[in-house]
Amino acid sequence: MNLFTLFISGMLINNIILSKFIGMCPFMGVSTKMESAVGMGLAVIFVVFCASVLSWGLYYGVLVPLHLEYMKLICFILLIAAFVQFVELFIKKNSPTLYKQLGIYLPLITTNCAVLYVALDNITQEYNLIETIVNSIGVPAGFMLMLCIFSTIRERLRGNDVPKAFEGNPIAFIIAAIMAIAFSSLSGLV
Amino acid sequence: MSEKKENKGGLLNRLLIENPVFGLYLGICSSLAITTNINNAIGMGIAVTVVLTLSNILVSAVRNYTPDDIHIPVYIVIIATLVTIVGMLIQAYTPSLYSALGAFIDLIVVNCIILGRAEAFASMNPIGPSVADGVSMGISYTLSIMAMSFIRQILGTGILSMSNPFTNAEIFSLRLIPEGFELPFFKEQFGAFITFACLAAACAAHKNHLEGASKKKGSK
Amino acid sequence: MKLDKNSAQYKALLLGTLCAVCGLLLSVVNTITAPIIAENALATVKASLEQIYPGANFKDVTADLISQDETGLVDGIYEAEGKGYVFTLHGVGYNSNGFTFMVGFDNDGKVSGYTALEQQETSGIGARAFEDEYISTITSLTSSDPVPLLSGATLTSTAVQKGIDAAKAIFNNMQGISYDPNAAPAAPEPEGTLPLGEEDFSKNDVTIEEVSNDGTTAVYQCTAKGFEGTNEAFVTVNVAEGKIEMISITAFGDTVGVGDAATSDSALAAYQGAGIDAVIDATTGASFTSRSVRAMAAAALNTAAGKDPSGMNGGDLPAEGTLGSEDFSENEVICRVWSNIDSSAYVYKCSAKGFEGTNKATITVNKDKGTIVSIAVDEFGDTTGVGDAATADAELAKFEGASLDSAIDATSGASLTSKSLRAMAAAALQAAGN
Repeated sequence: MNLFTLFISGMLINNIILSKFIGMCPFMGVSTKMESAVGMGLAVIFVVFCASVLSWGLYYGVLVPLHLEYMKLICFILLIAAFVQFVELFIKKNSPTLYKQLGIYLPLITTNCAVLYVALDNITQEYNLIETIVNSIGVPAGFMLMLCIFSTIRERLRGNDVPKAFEGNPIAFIIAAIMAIAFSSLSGLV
Repeated sequence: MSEKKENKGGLLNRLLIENPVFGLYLGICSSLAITTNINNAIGMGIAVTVVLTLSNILVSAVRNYTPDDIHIPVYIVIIATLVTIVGMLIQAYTPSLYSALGAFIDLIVVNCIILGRAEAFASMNPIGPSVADGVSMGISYTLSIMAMSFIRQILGTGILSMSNPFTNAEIFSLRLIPEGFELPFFKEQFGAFITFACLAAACAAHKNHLEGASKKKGSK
Repeated sequence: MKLDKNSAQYKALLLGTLCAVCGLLLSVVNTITAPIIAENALATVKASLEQIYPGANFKDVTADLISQDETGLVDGIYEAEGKGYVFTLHGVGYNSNGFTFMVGFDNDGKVSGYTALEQQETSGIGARAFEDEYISTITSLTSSDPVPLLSGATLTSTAVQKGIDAAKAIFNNMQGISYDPNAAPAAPEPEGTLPLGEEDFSKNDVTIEEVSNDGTTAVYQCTAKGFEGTNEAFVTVNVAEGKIEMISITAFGDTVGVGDAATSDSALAAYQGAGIDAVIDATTGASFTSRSVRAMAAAALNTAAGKDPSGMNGGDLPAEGTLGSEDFSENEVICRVWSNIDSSAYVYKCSAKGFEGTNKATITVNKDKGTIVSIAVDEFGDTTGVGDAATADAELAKFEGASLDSAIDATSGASLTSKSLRAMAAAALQAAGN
């Protein structure tokens, strides 16, 4: 499959938040300020990329030869948890500044649906290694894009007159609804 | 008698204010994606309730034997095993539900509700209360997503229908909105977000109202 | 022995036992559910498979054989025990959503069945690739035959052809049948023979030039397309009697050793004394070449009788069918949307090959009615003085109000230019209708 198409499709056309609804939980919490959005976004790209490639390797290197495909879910989630734990310790020890910017989001990412989804999707779609790499960068790039766009919108919203019941998350969902229409116009592109 | 009232208030409380989906914003991913019809909602709700209850039981059972620093991997393994088993059973016995829910069955493992309840409740309480907590959380989740899919299905397709997932036989089908007058965008992403926002706002409004009322009581 | 809860060994033991127990539990559930899952998958396909082999025992052999598929078009491979194999395939024709279909091969190599599973091609155009006529064409093939395309449904039948070729590759590899994957499908054989004056030689591109005519005997230099090349001959006609005196071939453009059976002295002798009503048998094994000779003979006889080469009394040649059904694959038509705002006047800029050059035209289509509003020729690439008879205002006016079901008469003496105009009109109508 055309790699560029794969990238654009993962990032924009089948955007993981607006089109697939995955990764919403931390999304609502973190998208209130631009700095935290950028930090979270970069952390997610890093974790998703590494975790997906490692999971792909684990699946085709260990699980398939041993006919243990049904252990896929357990192995992937343990791998993700272990990887995130390891990275957090590593950053904490080696770069306190980086830890301040990214490290605090790492525990949040373990249970982020997005990481597990991308890892599983690479297997379901039977991508080879290169396609896995491209997909695993494109999809979280779309996540980061959405985070940044949302945080700018929500920052502006803070000074506005939102109905009391809609304050906080409900209004964010209305914004998401409108953005979903905007992005759905891309759907015929590929 | 006041105790019973409190309990009743507790259940309603759970449903509206501490609603895991609309109040606490847990498990949003699945509630947006699969709530296009009632069948999916009931199927997903039952799957989550089963996994939640069993995981609460197991976590509660091993809570005294797991040291603190490895408790996360232990809980994850338990939940992942349960999800895989439930997934296999769904795939084998209700294939139509499996194709409708798709990847979201596997994503139950990262459903914030399950790990959240395991950490917050089951790891600190005996099995009995853990079961009750799991069941009640599961039911309130199921009712929430059923509410969403009710709205989305009626407004989106005009038809309220249910079919038996084991045999694909239709149980009933009721056309509530005349053909041509339904709003198809409720079946899509836009409708999902809007429905969710309105239901969340409704719960928030109720919460504000209760807070306002208790403030008044308190000041009196 | 009491292990300290916080010791490393305890933790390792706990995690290890937990994983082992879980793994065991999962493998138990897996062995119970995996066969049921496989059966479910097969059951959904089985209903369709039974269309080709009713009542057979099917086995899903996709996992074993799919690695042989280099095209990615094969979705599933099923063995009907004792009978043959069924391949489920997908393809993309005109509708970008694609379609799925299946083809079956008997163990002896014959195509046992071909049917669509799911398709949304345009009815009357692409959907014809899944209807009886094409189905019977496919089911008359064997696994080593090339798959013919369906004229008027080129996109869809090309996708079908690619899918069946992919299935053939795996099947022939499995059965050890050797075949030529690049063989071109045989063009349809001409059927039967009619009297010279009634046979349709429009595909032979006959040209005729009078060499000499003294009132009694006329000699014409003719050319006509044969199998793959052009054959040239001098045809001598007795004008008074309207009969052929002699045909001598001056240039042979077909296959030596095959087509020249039709140009041998004995074959040509059959034409001596033949009039326009004569029935000349086609030479077996050289039917195309022999047809080209008959074409030249008929043209000569007609011209000698004062008619135009195809036997009409001047004026228009009969239409070759409706715009929607005619085969324009040789015209290489390209149509681009110029304006599609007003649905009563969609404008297309089209180009199509004519006789020797490319003709370009602007075609306005009424999308609501599915008819042509007007055609204006932008660029004329054919022979001035010959082909431009087809671009005269009166001829272009014939297209006004035409739909895909209309039959537009070709302009005699400018049939190829006229065909390129029809090709562009049909393409514009198809584009507007979809």
